[in-house]
This record gives sequence, C-alpha cells and structure tokens, in this order.
Amino acid sequence: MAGSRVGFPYTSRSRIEDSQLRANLRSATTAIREKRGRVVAEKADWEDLRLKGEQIRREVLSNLDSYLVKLESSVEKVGGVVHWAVDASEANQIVFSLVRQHGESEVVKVKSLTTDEMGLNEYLSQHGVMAHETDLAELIIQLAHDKPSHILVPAIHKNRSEIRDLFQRTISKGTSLSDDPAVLAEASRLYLRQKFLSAKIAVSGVNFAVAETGTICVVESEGNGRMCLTLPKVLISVMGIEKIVPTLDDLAVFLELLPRSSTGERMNPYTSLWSGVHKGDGPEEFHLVIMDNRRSAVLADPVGRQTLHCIRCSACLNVCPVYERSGGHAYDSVYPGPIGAILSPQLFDSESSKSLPWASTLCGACYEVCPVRINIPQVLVHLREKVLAEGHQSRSERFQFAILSAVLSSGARFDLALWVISRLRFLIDRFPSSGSLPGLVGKWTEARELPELPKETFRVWWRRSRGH
Amino acid sequence: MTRSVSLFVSCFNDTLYPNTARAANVVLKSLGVSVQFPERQTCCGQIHVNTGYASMAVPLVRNFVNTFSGAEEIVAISGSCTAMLREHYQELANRTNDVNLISKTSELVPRVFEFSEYLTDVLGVSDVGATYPHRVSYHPTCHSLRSLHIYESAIKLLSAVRGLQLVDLAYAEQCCGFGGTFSVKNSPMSTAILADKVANIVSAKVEAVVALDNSCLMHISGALKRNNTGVSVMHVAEVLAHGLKGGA
Amino acid sequence: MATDHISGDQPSRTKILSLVRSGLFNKSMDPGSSTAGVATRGAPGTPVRIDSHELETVDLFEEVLRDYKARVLRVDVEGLPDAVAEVVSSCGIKSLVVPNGLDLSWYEGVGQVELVVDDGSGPAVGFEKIDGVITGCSCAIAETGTLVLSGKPDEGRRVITLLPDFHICIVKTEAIIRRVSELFSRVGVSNPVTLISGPSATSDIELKRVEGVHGPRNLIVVIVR
Repeated sequence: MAGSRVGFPYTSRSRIEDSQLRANLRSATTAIREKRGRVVAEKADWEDLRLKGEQIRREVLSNLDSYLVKLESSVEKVGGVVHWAVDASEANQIVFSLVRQHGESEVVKVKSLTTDEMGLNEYLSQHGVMAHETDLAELIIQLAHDKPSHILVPAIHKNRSEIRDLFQRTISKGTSLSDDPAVLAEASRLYLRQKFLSAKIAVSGVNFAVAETGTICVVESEGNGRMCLTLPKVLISVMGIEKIVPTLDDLAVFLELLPRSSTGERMNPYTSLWSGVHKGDGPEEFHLVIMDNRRSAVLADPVGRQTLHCIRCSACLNVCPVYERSGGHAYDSVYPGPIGAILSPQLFDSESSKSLPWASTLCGACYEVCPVRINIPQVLVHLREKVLAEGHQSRSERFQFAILSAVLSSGARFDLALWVISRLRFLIDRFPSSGSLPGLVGKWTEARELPELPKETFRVWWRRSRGH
Repeated sequence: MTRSVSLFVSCFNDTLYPNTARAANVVLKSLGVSVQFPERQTCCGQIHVNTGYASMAVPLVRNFVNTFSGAEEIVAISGSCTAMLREHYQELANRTNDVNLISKTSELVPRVFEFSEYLTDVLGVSDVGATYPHRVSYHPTCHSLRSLHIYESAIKLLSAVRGLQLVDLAYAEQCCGFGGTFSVKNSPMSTAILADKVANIVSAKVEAVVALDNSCLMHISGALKRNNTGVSVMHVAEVLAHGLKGGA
Repeated sequence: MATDHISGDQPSRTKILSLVRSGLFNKSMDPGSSTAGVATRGAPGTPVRIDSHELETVDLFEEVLRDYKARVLRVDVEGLPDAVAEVVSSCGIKSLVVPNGLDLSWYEGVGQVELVVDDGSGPAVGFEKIDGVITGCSCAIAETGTLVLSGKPDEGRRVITLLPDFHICIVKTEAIIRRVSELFSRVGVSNPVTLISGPSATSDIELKRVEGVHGPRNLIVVIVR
C-alpha cells in the first residue's frame, strides 16, 4: 500500500500538514473531551451503566432475528408500515417510491448517518426529489457541497467566517450577516422554518427502536428533529438492523449513556419518542425502513460483531490521537475516527476503507470511553488480519514477516541471527544517523534518530556473567 | 523461602536495551528474588499480531510457552509485551487445536507479571531503596495504562526513590504515536503525534522521561535526540537500580 | 393477520432474516452472550411528600435547569397564577396557546393576551404565529433537568410546544423523579413522548453553544410545591 494514492496514509498526509485544520480539530476535540469528562464524573455508577449498555447490545445482537420480527409486529400493531431493505440501493428505492406515491418533490431530513451511508440525498436528487437537511451542520455541509467530518459536529472543519460567506451566497442572499454563531443560527432558523411548515414528507434516522412497544427514539438538540417528526403528514424513518433495544427500560440506559458520551451534556435538549401513528398528533403515515446493508455479515464475525454495539456517540473520535490530527475526511467514509476504522472496512468494499484498520496506534483510548464497551483495538487487530487474508496485502511485507517469524520461533535461530548481525556490525555502524535510508528504516529516520546499538546483547552478557 | 522468577526481556530489550534487563535483574536480586533467564526466549509476537500476521505469531507463542512453562513466575519488562501475552496468547494457542499447548498457555499466562506490577502487587514493595536525584516525568504508556492498569504501581515506586522529583507531564495519558509498524506505515501521522508529546516533555523541563516500555521510549527518544532537547529517556527499572548494589 | 402476510411477502424480509440467522450460527463464540439484556428498573418515584430527600431532588432539578439557561421559579399553589401572569407579562407575550386540559386557575391571571385553548382536534396550523405556550408535564427528571411531555390533557399535542417561542412549563414537585432509569415506570408510550432539557440549542459552529434554534428559544419552568 506504500506510495498508493488511496488509503489513509495518503489521504491523511496533507491534512496533518494543515495547521489551521489541526488547530480547529484540537480545540474542538479537547473541548468535548473535557465536557464529557465532567458529566461522566458526576455519575458514580458510570461503569455499571457501561456494562449494562454492553449487555443490552449483546443480548439484542445474539437474538437479532427474533427482535427484528418482534419490532416489526409491534410497529405494525401501532399503525406503522415496515419495509425491509437488503442493501442501500433497495432502501433508497423504498424511500423514493414512497415520496413518489405522494407526488412530492421535496422532503425535509433529520441528521442521519444511516441515510448518509445510503447516499439517499444523491439518489433522491437524481430522481428529481430535493432532500433538505435541517440540522444546522448538515445544512452547512449540504449548501457547501462538502462532506461531514465528524459524527456529531459534521461541520467542525469550517470556521464561522466561512459559514457566514456561505450563507450570504445561499440561504441569506442579499442580506448582510455578521459571523456571530447566534446570527448564523438565526439565519438558518428563518430559512428552515418555511421548509418545516410546508413540507409534506420527512425522512429521519433512528437512534433506538424499542422491540416490545414499536417505539422509535430520535435524540437531537436544535428542534429540527421535532419539526420533522411532528409537522409533515408522512414520516419515513430508516434504521440499520442493529438499532434495536428490547424494552423501554433498556432504552432508559442508553438515554443516560448517549448524551453524556456524545455532546458531554447530562441530556440533549430534545428526545422524541413515538409509537406508530398517533391520531391528531403528528404524521398520519409512518414508515419504518429496516436496512441490512452488510450488517448481517458483521454479525457473523464473532470478533467484529461488537462493532454493531455502536450507538454513534462519537466519544471515540474525540479521544483519538489520530483523528485529532487527520480530521474526518481522511477516513474517506461516512464513519470516521476509531469506530469508522472498524465499521467502514466491514461495511464497504472500497480500497480506501481497507487501509483503515491500520490507521491507529492501538492506544486504547477509544475503548476506554466507549459507552457500550466496544473493544476497538481488538477489532482493529482482528480486521488487520482479515483484510490481509482477503488479499489486500504486499507480498514483500508478507515475506519479511514470514522470515521474521521463522527466526523468532526458535531460540537457536534467534541466537544465530544475532550472531550474524554482530558480525555485520561494522556495516551498521557506517549507517548515517539520519538522512536518506532505505525502506522502513528511512521512514523512521525522517523525524527520529535510531537508537544506538549496545556493545553486547543481554543474552551475551548473561552467558558471560551468569547474571552477576 | 526465596522466590524465583524467570525474566522475559523481550527481543528489542535484549538487542537494543540490555541495560534495562540488567537493571531489572539488579532490582529483583536486591529484593532477595532469584532471577533466571531462560535462553531460548525470543519475541512475544506482538509485531506480527499488530501488523495483521497473527497466524505467523503462533510458532512464537509455542516457543514462549515451551521456554517458560517450567517457570514459577515470569517477569516481563515491557508493558506492551505483557499486554500481548494477556490479551492474545490464549486465542493464538487455541488456533492450533493442540490440547497440550492450549492448557499450558492457560496455566502460564496468569503467572506473567509486568515488572513494576510484580514489585508492588506480588512482592508488596514500594521502596526498593534507590536514589536518583533528578527531575523526571513519567509517561504512562498506553498498554501499561489502559491494558494493564498499572499506573499506580509505577508512581508508587518512583515516588519512593530518594531525591527523585516527579514532575507532572501535560496530557501524559495521550499516546506517543509509536504503535509498532504504525510508526512507519503512517509515518507522518506518527511523527505529528510524537511532536506534541515531545513539546509537552520539553515544557515539563525534566532531565529524563521514564516509562515501563522501551519501545515507546525508543520512539520518544528518537525525536528528543533529533531536536537536541538534551532530555534523556529511561526505563523505570533503570531508575530503580540507581544506588543499588550492582546498579548504576 | 393481514399485516403479517404483507410483511411475509417481502422477499427482502426473508433474505435479511435468513442472513441474520446464519450470522448468528457463530453465537457460541461470543464470550459474553449469556448475560440477559433487560435492565433493572430504577427505584419507584418519590411519594407525594415533602421531605429532605425530595427537597434535595428538587434543588438538583433546579440547578441543572439553570445550567441549561432555563428560567426557573419556585412557588406554592396559591402563588402560581400570579407567577404565571408575571412571566407572561415580563416576557412580553401577547398571544398564548394552552391545552384544554390545563387547570384554568393556573393561567386565569394572564390578563390581556390573545388566548387559544387547543383541544387537539383542529388542523395543526397557525401555531407559529403564537408567542407562548403553557403546559403541565407528566414528570420531570432531576439529574438531567428534563421535562417529560406525553400528550396528557394538560400537555396537549406536540405542535403547541414546538412552534411558539416561549414555553412555560408547570412542574409539580411530586412529579420530579431523580434519574432517567425511573422514567418509564412513570410514563407510557401510547402517546408521543417528548423529553425537553433546556431550550433548543446548537453547537454546530465552532462548538460555540447558541441557545435557541428551532424549538422554543425560551424555557421557563415553574416548580409548584
């Protein structure tokens, strides 16, 4: 993969050098990290909550087939219509055909990673339907024809003056705006209010779906979610097969875990729960699209399965030393950061996603903060092996590691190798301490000195002195 | 009754940092522990597992288990190698379907201790009697901190060293950017993370950075030297051997 | 049942369920799958009684709400109409909507404002032109400063608490529970449920928190003893 024009080492390089981006990312991730730390510390039983969260997710995944059937029947009982989509393209077709049935050419949308994963907006647009993003950050991204760079705050890479300029070119044409975030938020409020009041169809994601009651839960901050979930006549919600919780009490566990992990708040401003169609309150039609899109294949991998525990809080992004310096775009996926590094290669076929399991130092900070205890380093290491086994590998690297394995699997061969090296020492000593060296050593010495070789190895000393 | 431990020094300490292994030997002996060095030991296989060649680590697991299965207690002087043993060995052994290897591995792994953990938790020692009158910062390497949870052990041992001034390191818990082959596969990223670690070390105005893992220290030292900071690196074992009989 | 047939006829449904089932064939390799997933319910709600424990919970509720930049008033039942009237006038609210189940005595002091009493039957239009809304709540959560609306007669349908810019919510102390885990022992989901924790907010621009986006930009909580 060295020298390749796809993959994380390539896509992250220019971003590491972008000092403005790094400064923005650092202040953002540091701020959320500290907020999270404060509200988590308030909960004396945080570790118990994490354990409960993990247990619930594991229970759901271990019996996912029956929970899916149960959810379907609960949703239908309360007047919802359930649709099943094997992949993204089928999910897109379902949403589009529902929009067409109602003769509409516009929908309003609540921020949803699942529909981003599907490429729903692009699909609808190709078929003559405009999807209006209503979350402020998603609106910014959409207006700028950009891509999200963070799960929670997708426009984290843009600063206020860029956003001011963007709004003056688009939704606030002819108006002069200051770059005060409150003024910019007001501009989006004015623009979107008309959309909310006139929209006939809304599309949302799903944070949690409660199997026992058919209740759907969406968490948000701005109120755009409530607008979309309440005002239009038709509501279409799209979920991955894994987004189920068994009961309302299980849901309560995640309502404690998610906001503290995600925004670092005790609770997000708005959480909406609805169960099918409620006469006289909200949409008259509710459609739930349940999408697989390879999640069943992730489920089949005993180590990778825990990836599906994820509740999309993004705490792992904010503590990751790699994400902090690359930003989300370098991951070339809807799912960036540590969770993206394990989810993307399992969901997608792209060559770039196959480089992501190596985009980590395995420092474990992500596992430590994960509210559902996904052992991300374990899955990363597992996927490294899996991706290589699928054939995404360099023959010369494999050969080097095979030689290394042969040498290191026997004390005698290791001894011999060390003896040979000691004989060749005069060559090694002539290596310049820096400058252009070949291969991996050269990569090391770009910014670091090599360690000095000691006069003798420990084993030679031990044999000579018997440890005295 | 004298305790007897077998030292697992790790391949890179054996070849690049023999002084750390010698220091561990000195400290353990000074505490009345008899130290063995099983000479067939090589490498734990972490580099294979972490790079994606786990199956190639299986023969290394076999060699390790055969080398150490007779040992009462095994003391390792690398945090990440200890974590490798605890987190991956059983699964790697299970791959072989070799009942003998599988059961030997499950008996062996619980007898492996990281050096500082062995001193504080097994021997119950916090003051080994060392003297090291210098300003140092402790870098709690990722595996020591988050896999082995031995932050307290190191702090306890270092705090008892005579003359040693332990200086807080800003963002100490953050990774140094090494990550094994990550440091060359994603070299610009690795060095960007390292640059921040080095800046924090320099701001701490210390003479040395100490840790429980020479692999991270090799990485940190590479940049400390390149930038002529004058700050040295040292394994905790070497600090603890200072002022002891046979130590520096 | 007819609905079952509709679902059963979808080939994608059959395919997904069979993929999931074959994926679960590996179940035994999942080390922790033995633990049951259902969480234990939290302690039952605080009884209607003012004791030190309850005072502590109410204080916590107030503190968290203030942290969200909500305005909080504490009154006794007799003082409620005056407090509501004072809020309405000090906020400059000229028009109000209230759900028809709201106790008339709570808002009888509001004076010269245009008042809409919503019985939930008409079309949900025009509420964006109304300044404020007064509601009760099904329960409130102290630890998170959360108001829970669940479509009860004194809470109304969702749209009335969404479009007006001022939301005045009246919370009885006995409705305040300590933590989120107790929520669903108090509130059912046969109606839509909305959890409100502070005014609407965004931190999407440089992570700077701006209170007030699409939902009510002002939240006033009146705690009644």
